[in-house]
Amino acid sequence: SEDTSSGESGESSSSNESSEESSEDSGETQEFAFSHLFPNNHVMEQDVVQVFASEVEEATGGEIAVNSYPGAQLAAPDGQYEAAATGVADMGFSVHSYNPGQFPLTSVMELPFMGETGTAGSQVLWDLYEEFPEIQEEYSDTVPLWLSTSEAGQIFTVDEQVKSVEDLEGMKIRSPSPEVNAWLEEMGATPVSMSMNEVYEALEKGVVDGTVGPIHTLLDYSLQEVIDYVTVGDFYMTTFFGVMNQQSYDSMSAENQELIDEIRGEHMSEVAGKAIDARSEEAVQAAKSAGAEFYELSDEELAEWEEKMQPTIDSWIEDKESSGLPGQEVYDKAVELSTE
Amino acid sequence: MSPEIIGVLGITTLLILFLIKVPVSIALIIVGTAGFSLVRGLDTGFVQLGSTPFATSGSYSLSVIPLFIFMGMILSYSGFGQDLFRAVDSWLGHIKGGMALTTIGTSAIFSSISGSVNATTATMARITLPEMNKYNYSPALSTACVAAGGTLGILIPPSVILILYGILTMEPIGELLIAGIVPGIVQMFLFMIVIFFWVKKNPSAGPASEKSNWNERFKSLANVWPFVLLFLLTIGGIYFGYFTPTEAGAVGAFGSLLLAFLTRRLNGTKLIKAMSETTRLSAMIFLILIGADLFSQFLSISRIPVQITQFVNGLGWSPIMIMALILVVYFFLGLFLEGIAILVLTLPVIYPLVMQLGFDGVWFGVIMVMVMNIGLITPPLGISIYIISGVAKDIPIERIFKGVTPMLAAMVVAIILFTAFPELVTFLPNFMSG
Amino acid sequence: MGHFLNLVEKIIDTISNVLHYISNVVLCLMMLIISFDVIGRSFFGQPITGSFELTELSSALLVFFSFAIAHKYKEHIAIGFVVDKLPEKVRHFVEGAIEVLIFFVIIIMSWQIYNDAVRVMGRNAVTSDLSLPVYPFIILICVGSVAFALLALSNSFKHFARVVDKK
Ligand code: NA
Ligand code: NA
Repeated sequence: SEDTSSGESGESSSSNESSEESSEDSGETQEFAFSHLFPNNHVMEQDVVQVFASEVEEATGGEIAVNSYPGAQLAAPDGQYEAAATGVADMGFSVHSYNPGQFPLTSVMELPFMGETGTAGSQVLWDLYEEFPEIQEEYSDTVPLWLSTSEAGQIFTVDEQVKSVEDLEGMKIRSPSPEVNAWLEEMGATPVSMSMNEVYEALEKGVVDGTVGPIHTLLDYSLQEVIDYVTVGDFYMTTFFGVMNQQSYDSMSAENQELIDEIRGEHMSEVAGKAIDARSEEAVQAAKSAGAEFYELSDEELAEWEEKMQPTIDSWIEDKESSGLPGQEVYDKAVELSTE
Repeated sequence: MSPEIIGVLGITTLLILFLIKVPVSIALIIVGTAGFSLVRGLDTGFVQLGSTPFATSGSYSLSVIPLFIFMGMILSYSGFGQDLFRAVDSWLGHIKGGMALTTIGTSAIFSSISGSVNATTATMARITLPEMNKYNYSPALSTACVAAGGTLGILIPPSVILILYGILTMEPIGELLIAGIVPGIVQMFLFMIVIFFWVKKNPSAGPASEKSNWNERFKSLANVWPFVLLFLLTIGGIYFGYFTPTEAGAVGAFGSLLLAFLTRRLNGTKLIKAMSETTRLSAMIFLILIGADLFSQFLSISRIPVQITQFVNGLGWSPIMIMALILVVYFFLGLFLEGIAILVLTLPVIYPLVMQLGFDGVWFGVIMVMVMNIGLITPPLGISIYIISGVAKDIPIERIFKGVTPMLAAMVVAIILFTAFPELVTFLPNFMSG
Repeated sequence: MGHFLNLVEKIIDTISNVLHYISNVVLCLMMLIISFDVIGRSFFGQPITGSFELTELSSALLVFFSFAIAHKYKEHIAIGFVVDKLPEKVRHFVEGAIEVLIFFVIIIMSWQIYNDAVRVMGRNAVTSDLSLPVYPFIILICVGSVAFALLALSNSFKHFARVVDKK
């Protein structure tokens, strides 16, 4: 029973029938638990998970219902993929970078200058997934619902504006990933790792002078209240995955599987990308009305940044190649797709 | 069985296990795992049982607990805590309940370093309980003071819970933190008033000591400087931006260790004792936190919290009645769940309702924290009391729960006061943010 | 039989004590890592790389390596006002039974923590800044968990011995 129980548990759990009598006849509602880490009022719940749930419900004529469990209430933020893979939930949705090492090639989108918007980035990431079996391998024990990216990450600072690489020198900057750590160090800044929940106070009190992140995270953590400057240079992207338990997927009728196949994948990736772009737009407005000054780096200025960031890109490629993965090929393709 | 029925059965089983002396943590682990298994299958219950212990014990925000405890242990074993109390005794000791008042006051000051109730309670328990014991304070009074004082940890900024509330609701975090100050101070005075009446009614609970002369008083102050220095170091470090409140635990422990060695107040044996007690107490607290996480994952999948909040949502009563009901619901959730779990499970449904009814979001955050504070010191899941019981092992836990009742009254009075006059909460943040 | 149980008890005690010492050392390391990270970052522009994840890993180790000793010192909070009123032999029987229950619960937990380690290993999960593999740490906490279970088992023998005790 070990391999079937997560399939069973995918079936209606709120009505009383035992698992034997359910499944086959239609007319029964199959209920799926969707676990994710974003808070309930977050755009990822409202405009991605709920959109997915209602599209699925509509397409299957109410035969499939998706119940959302937001706020990491069923599993830790870094446990969302595992929760979906093992059947703790039927579906899971989180940020790749919470599971370092687990998605080596997907992380190509976290490298600098991969694009500007979540919509474009998500399209690139999904295309890469379709093209490279090595990327598909990273999700081999689940059924991907979407792969998406945030809008590009920028530098946010308090008190001191950053216009050039030199300006960063000596600043303490909260960094989201080892890649960003690497180029911050290259530029003479001090990268600081801390929990996102602490960033607000850290910026306010001056424990750090700034932080790097996608613009929408300003709203997520109310950082627009404390930052003064935004330096726009498209330095990296956060990436997201939505996945479904394999047995739960198999437990659906063939027709329903086909209907859901239409929704998942490219379409949902686009929905997720657009949702984050809308949130980002909202964050830009909030930051501007809170008095933040935006500075967009020109192409000439960016040349200097690119030079400092090249080693990070090179070492990413080298690292993948040394473990037998097509790092160079994936990187080149990602650049090609994102400049199209 | 529907998940909701499994949920109710789970809560009942939990209470039975508590009554037959199964350790609180083990009971939570059993019910959490079994309940999750009943709803979603045994193998998934086992996945939760296998993954939660590492996730919880390796959580950065909780890692602050052992370090704050360590700081308290060092201050206690090196005799700094004793000095502080001697000094206080020479100034206030002739007043009945003087040390109890000091415990509340010191907790309030300590709350400006620590962002959590757990850390505040654990530190203060280690410093103050042995001393009050020496001065023949009744255990009921001394433990009640520590429990009550500890709850100030999340009202007086910094506050982990208020920041999380701000993140979940998008209410301005800066204003939330400032909004906690007045209620924190008022709550502190209410606790002191309770102590005043307590020792008035029962003078042997907080015996007065002999009145000291001025010479003795100023002499005793000379011994307090290491304590003052440490407070300044940690408070200053946080407010001038050298470290975060989480890091303050480590810096505080390191600072106390250096001071204790430099002043030759600590030797190897005492240090080992301080370390050993810290790690044992931390182990106890974390096993309960692991159990609480497993239990809350189970309650969450049983959908009971959602059902309750939706029920409240659908009643259609007047705003103030609904608010009263919401606060009662939070009170009951607080009996069984840990604070962060309550926020995550209920805010999504309750917060929009509160907004719709026209209440102030900042005010609600503070009131909610005050209601959840009650849950920390009430059975069956009263984490503050468990922490105190870990330090004061000779006092039966039921007595601590019973002793804390007058403090609960002070907390209820504060909640009623700030619900009747919400401006008391909101004027300061409104003033500061212009 | 008595000899054998004494020996087992001694072995379990030794394991608990050794783990506890390690836990104490980890506590100090954790304090030093954070303190030097703060000092390095604030005054020398040179933080300790990975201090964040080292803190998390230390916290997990510290806690798990002290579970057994905490149980030996009866730190794990239980509410005793009903059971403590029972006649002595009955009480020892109940407490012995509870220790057996704890043993089973914690042994199952240890087994599942081990399974978790295997899954985490299969996913090549590493820490963020230092890229340390995560699974060895989960196996270490599993060791602490097993020691806790064994200590409960040894406690149960002591209680049951008091039940059959002639005096
Ligand atoms: Na505080
Ligand atoms: Na409680």
